[in-house]
Amino acid sequence: MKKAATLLLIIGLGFHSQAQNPTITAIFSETPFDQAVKTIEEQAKTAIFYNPQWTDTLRVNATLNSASLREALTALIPSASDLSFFINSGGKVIISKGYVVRESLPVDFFTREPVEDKMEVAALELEKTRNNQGPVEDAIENKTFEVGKKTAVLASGKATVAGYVKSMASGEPVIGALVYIENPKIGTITDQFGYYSLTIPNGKQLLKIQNVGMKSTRRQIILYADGLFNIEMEEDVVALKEVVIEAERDVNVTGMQMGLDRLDIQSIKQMPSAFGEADIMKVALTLPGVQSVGEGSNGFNVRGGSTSQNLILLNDAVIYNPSHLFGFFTAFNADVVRNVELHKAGIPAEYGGRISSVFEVDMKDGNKKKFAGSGGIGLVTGRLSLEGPIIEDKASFLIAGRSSYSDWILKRLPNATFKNSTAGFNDLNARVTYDIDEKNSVYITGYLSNDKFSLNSDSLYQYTNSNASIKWKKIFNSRLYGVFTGVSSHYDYSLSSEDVPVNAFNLGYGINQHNFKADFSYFPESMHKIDFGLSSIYYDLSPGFNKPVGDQSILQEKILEKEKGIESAIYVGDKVDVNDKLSVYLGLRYSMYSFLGPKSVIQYDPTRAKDVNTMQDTVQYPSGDFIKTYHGPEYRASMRYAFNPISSAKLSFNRMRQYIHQLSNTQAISPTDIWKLSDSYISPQIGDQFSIGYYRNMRSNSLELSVETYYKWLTDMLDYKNGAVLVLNEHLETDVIKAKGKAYGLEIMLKKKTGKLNGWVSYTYSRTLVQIAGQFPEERVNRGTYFPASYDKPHDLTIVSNYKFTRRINISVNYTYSTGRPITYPLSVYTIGGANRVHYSDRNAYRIPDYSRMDLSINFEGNHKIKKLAHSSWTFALFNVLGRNNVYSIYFVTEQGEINGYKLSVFARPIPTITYNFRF
Amino acid sequence: MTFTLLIGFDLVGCTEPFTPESKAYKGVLVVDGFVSDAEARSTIKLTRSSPIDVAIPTPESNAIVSVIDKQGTSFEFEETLPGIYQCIAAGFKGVVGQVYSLDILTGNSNHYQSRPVTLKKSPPIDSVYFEPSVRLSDIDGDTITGAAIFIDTHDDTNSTKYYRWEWEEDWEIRVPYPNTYDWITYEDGKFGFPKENGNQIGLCYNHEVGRNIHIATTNQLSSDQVSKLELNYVTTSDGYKLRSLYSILVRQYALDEAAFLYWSELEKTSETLGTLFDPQPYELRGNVFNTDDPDETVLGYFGASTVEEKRLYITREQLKDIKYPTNPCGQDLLEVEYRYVYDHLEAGYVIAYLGDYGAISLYMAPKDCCDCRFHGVLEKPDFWPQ
Repeated sequence: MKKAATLLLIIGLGFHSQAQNPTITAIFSETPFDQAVKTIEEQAKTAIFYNPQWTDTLRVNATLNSASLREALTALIPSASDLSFFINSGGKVIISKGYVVRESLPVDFFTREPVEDKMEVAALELEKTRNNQGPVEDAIENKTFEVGKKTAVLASGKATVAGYVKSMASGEPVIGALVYIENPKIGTITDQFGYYSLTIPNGKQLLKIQNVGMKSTRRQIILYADGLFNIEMEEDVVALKEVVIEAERDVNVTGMQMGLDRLDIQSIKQMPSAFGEADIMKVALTLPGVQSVGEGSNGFNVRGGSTSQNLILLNDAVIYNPSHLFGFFTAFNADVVRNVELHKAGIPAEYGGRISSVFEVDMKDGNKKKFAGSGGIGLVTGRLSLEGPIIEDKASFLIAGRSSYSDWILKRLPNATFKNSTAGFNDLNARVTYDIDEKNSVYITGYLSNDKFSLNSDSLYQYTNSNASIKWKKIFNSRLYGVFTGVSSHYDYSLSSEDVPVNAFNLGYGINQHNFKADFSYFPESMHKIDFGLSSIYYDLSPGFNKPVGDQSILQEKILEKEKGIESAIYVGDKVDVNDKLSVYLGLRYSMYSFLGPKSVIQYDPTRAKDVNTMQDTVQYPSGDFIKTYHGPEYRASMRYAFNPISSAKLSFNRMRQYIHQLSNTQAISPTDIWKLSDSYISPQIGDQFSIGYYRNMRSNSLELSVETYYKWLTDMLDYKNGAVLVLNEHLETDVIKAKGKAYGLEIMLKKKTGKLNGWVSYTYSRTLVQIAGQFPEERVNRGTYFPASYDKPHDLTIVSNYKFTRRINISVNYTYSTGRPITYPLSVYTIGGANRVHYSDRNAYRIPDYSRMDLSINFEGNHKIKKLAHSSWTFALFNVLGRNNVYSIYFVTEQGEINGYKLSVFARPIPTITYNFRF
Repeated sequence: MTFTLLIGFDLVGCTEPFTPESKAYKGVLVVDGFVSDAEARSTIKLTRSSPIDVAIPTPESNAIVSVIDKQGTSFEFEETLPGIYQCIAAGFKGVVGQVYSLDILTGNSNHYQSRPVTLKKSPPIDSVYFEPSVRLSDIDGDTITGAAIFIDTHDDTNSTKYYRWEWEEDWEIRVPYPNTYDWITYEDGKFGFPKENGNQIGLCYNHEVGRNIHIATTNQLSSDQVSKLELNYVTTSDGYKLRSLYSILVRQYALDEAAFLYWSELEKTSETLGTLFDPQPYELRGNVFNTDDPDETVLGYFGASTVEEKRLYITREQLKDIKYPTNPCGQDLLEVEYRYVYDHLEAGYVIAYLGDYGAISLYMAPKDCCDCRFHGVLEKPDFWPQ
């Protein structure tokens, strides 16, 4: 404190010795404030800093004749306004609003109780480049805030400062922002609520805050004791199109997490896409270790996991089908997405339920300051979103909808079946955020999506995702907060046809999931964080029904028995920074699952393979009975060792358990794939992953290199027998088989985050092998040997690059190459039923040709004036520039007795699009 | 606000023919066997699978083939044609409800056996009928017209449940300009005259066997009834098929659950592929195994059922309301002066008919418009109506 006062004194002295020589002569008559300022600046040879927002309506009327700078400024600023000015030692002028900048400390400075909004500016450092937006931030940055209950004598030791980082424009939380002090180096990253908690030495501290798309800022605080301190950040308008991840400058090296990818919506929107719409999942596919079967396939595969082994969360609610329109669109409306996180390894203990990855999509909060709206019409969809405050600065809402209106894509698919078809979808997101007080916030979120398509116009497919969640965040004190969440998720599909009245049917499937969880974060001291909590999920599945439609239908109603289960878990995770070099995270999650009655369970002859002929008996379990219970620990551990500030090694191990399984014998997720709970015969899947990585930042953190390797063991994955019937099957256990998997790989990524040219290059070598070696011959595939999974693509190269010609023009070029995926290939031809048929090889014994695609987009920004009606930009994109006819699948069909081979490509030629964007 | 605009049209997606490379090939035994209660129908066909680029199966000759019933009575089948085994001498006739299994000893002394199958009775076919129908063609998405052929059948005893059908079609071909004149030339070839040749080549017949799999189950219905199941769609653009008299014969078989599963898997892995979410194809084995090496791949199926038949005729008159594409030879008739006849003969034309009396020109058309043997055979099928 004393030091600061001394410093001020020196500045003050300096100021007094400064002479005020130039004079100003001018006549202002209804002159805009800006112009008047310019005149004064020129004549007085000075610079005047102010926020033009305060003065844009001001007109100046004054006559100046050889006036001093001080006189001129007095004339310039209306006495009735709350503006005041300050001339510093260098003769530069700062205009402030709402408070007066003083050159010395007030008499009672050290004895007053702190009053936050009337803070005094303590010190000023003004030799900055001229920037009209500067002063607002500067003023705040130069205030000194007191945190904690003030004491006469500053207690030695440490205290915890905690609070929210929010956007100045919308009041929305800023996620993943880096909050740190430099000496000693202590930092943290804001969580999904924008909340941070930092335990640092008491006394005067300079907090620095950085985040992508935001202007870096800092706050001076005097920390007396534990206390709350909220920070607002200004959006960086021109940074809109930069992929720069400046906020986490050295997180690559110093961060604890490995296998974590965080995507911000700005960089997602920048990627060229096939239909000109930002697509979160397609961007995720450019990351190392993330692959898909091909275009037009739902979902993605993470490090050898199947598409159903990803926990896909939208505001804590599970999304069972993350795609619209056969995977050409994702279920997530990019307009309302704030943040996307993908955990590939080192998954923290609070997550569980799927064995491969966690893909978490977080929705924006509504604007707490003003009403705003945006909308648009694209090639296939139209959309609209509205947001605004309910109670200013406290409560807000956001509602956004999308709907398709054309069959444009279908009309272009290479098959007459599709030409005669219709397909459409819509989705709706809604959120209400309410900050009850400093310590309590409530979030209510809803999501509804609906897809309908009719292939060849005789049967109608339909599927719906819907969920609702309510979340209450309570800060108990600056060291402990808790989040209580209740979620309901629902998914269903149906298929109906009324073409032939006697056979008219409606076939369907549904899943309901209700969960409750309580998560706590406790920060006992600096460099130490403990997370703990519990969760419980109740599943209620309708595994299938087939009902007659209309009076004429003679279809026999068939309704499969419901499936119910309860999955619960408790967890604790402890993160300790042992010293500057070593950080350790240890977590344990213990999950329990019970398959619940009422249910009839078929018993089989244990000495033979399960099939219709080996059924012996059926046992009825009454409602509420625990038919079968599985439980087990899930270990989570990670460690980071920093060799020096620019390089580190990380290590992680995690075990995950999965109690709900997707059954699919199609190559991609199809809308009619079903989910099945673990039961008497189907045990939970277990995934273990060991991962090790080396990270190095080069060229003052502008180049990031990461090398990660992993080995994964997958136990009791669910696979299907050849020819399995999965729909309306009363005894699925006869058609599914347990599989064992192993996956390993090496991922290398070089990322350049700043500069005119930025982007990344990633190369992955990975293998995923599956073994199906049951006890009986029927339960073996490929004679029980290991074979490649259908998404096993050993080589994968992705280049994402972005070149900025000027602030307003940039160009993105993306390239992706991967080995062709495995397929089952024809070995020979035989004749039966008068026609030639193909005799196929072992499962996945051959591969389709390699995949290669380049996309290009050029972006023209409008001018960067901060004050204008709307910000606009043009994007010209060319998807599949090389026009390469990438093979999606090869198939053989017996047509009129002859075998014909075909190769199907989804995007066979370049697809150009123009997008015009504007926001207001 | 985002507004997206597309330049260029019809840019997405394509399906192209693909010729696979031949992979390591090994001929596998294929059994296509069927026994019924009718004497001549019980036939066991044995072949070996062929490389993918050859696609002609090799007959498996010199095997010892017998069908054994539940009581152990063995009926030996003899090779009547290469790879085709029939039981003619012993006069084998299956009995409904009897259980049969197939026993094969191949020339290289491998021993194969089928799982036992029960000869199932098929109910009679209720009706085979057609309806005119307009569709989009698979190739270019253009509209085409034609007749869809349906079947109705049912079993009052609710015991059939699984059905399979085969069909074969026959049709008349009446070419528009049946040729009855030859052109007789003088020695130098420059001059000539038409002369009646007594040809009867205006009316022919053709025959085709449906080779797709047609199966259905009524398992999920409250009554064992198949309604309006489409077996075939004949288009008006398919040559002469619907231009005169057309006939289709439908054969119905009863299946047991295992046979139904086999045929439906065969259908799924060979006929219904090519969409974005297809099941993976796989090696489909039937119900025949090597007794010494169960891992050996044996393809095909051995089944047993009675057979029911029904024939449908469709006359041109019945299709008068549907739109036909233009007559295949409508544009091809030329009036040719005598002195140019020879040149047209050289170009593949023949005489369609003569001009008016005294004219020095006649009418010519391409051979396939004048000679029905380009489209079928002259021999009339036995069952063809007068």
